[in-house]
Amino acid sequence: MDNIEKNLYDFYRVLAEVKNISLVKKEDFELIQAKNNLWPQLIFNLNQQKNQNEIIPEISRYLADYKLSPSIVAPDEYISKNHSELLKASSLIPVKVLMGMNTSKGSKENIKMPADCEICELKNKTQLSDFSMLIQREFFSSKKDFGEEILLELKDSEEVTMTGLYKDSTLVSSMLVFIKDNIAGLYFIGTKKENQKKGYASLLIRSGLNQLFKTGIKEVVLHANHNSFALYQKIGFEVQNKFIVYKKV
Amino acid sequence: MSSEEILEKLKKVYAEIFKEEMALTHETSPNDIGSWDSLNHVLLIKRIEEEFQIEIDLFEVIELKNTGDIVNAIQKRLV
Repeated sequence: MDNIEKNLYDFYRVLAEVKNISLVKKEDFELIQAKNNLWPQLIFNLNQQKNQNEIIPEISRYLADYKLSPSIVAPDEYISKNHSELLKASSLIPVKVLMGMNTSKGSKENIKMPADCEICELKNKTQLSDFSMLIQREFFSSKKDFGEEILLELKDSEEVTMTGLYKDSTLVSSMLVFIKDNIAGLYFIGTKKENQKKGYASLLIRSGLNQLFKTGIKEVVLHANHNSFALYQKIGFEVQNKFIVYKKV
Repeated sequence: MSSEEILEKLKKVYAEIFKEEMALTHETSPNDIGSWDSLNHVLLIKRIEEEFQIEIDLFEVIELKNTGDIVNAIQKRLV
């Protein structure tokens, strides 16, 4: 397992320490589940030593038995197009691709912060509520899937820092940094729709990278979707692997 | 079938899945439609398969990023 995959799974395990979120460790996978159908509802860390012919139907049966419908995250080097028939037979369908990206360098360009912008750590209830709303809008479409209390609890974790870029005192771009074993993972990178494509996320990430590498972090990782992939590549991140997200239908 | 004819037929399918009428273009993507999440994306493609009587590979579905990609995928299969 590489650092990109490890950081993601470690982040899920830290999320599981939040109130109303539980972690179930099975022999061949882990399940993280929030109450009231809120996010996260995820199966991850599949036992890649096990044959896919066994584990895919096993997960499908488990979900049917317990009437669960989490997303299942798996690296595409483990489950791929070769398993299409098996996935179909188990009613598991791929719904999303995430690209695992990393960088071990800070930003080459000088960071010029516009006079009306500032970056600061998000700590108080109002700041975290703004971040939560941004996450909800950017990552969870129209349904109210993301509980604000996750951020309120995570702010006390030593491994988590949340930062935001404010323009004229309004939060326009934000991200969560999760550090474990000297590897930093960037999560929930989002920018308000009306402020997208103006370079705010890039400014926030590049400034974050410089800070992280100054403190001795050796690698920064993230998981990009189709929309954000080009931005991260421009900043200097490189694709190392791919994850596919599945749902049972 | 021309790309414009496909787009016209797609309008009906989109309205059915996303429960809203919209001005559809090749550029229309999940960014423009609030309820176009990953699961609805799959449901949309399933409905398109029925409507156009085609089959799109499970893994190709997740590579279709906007309406233009969907139109191309349909056209490729209707030839």
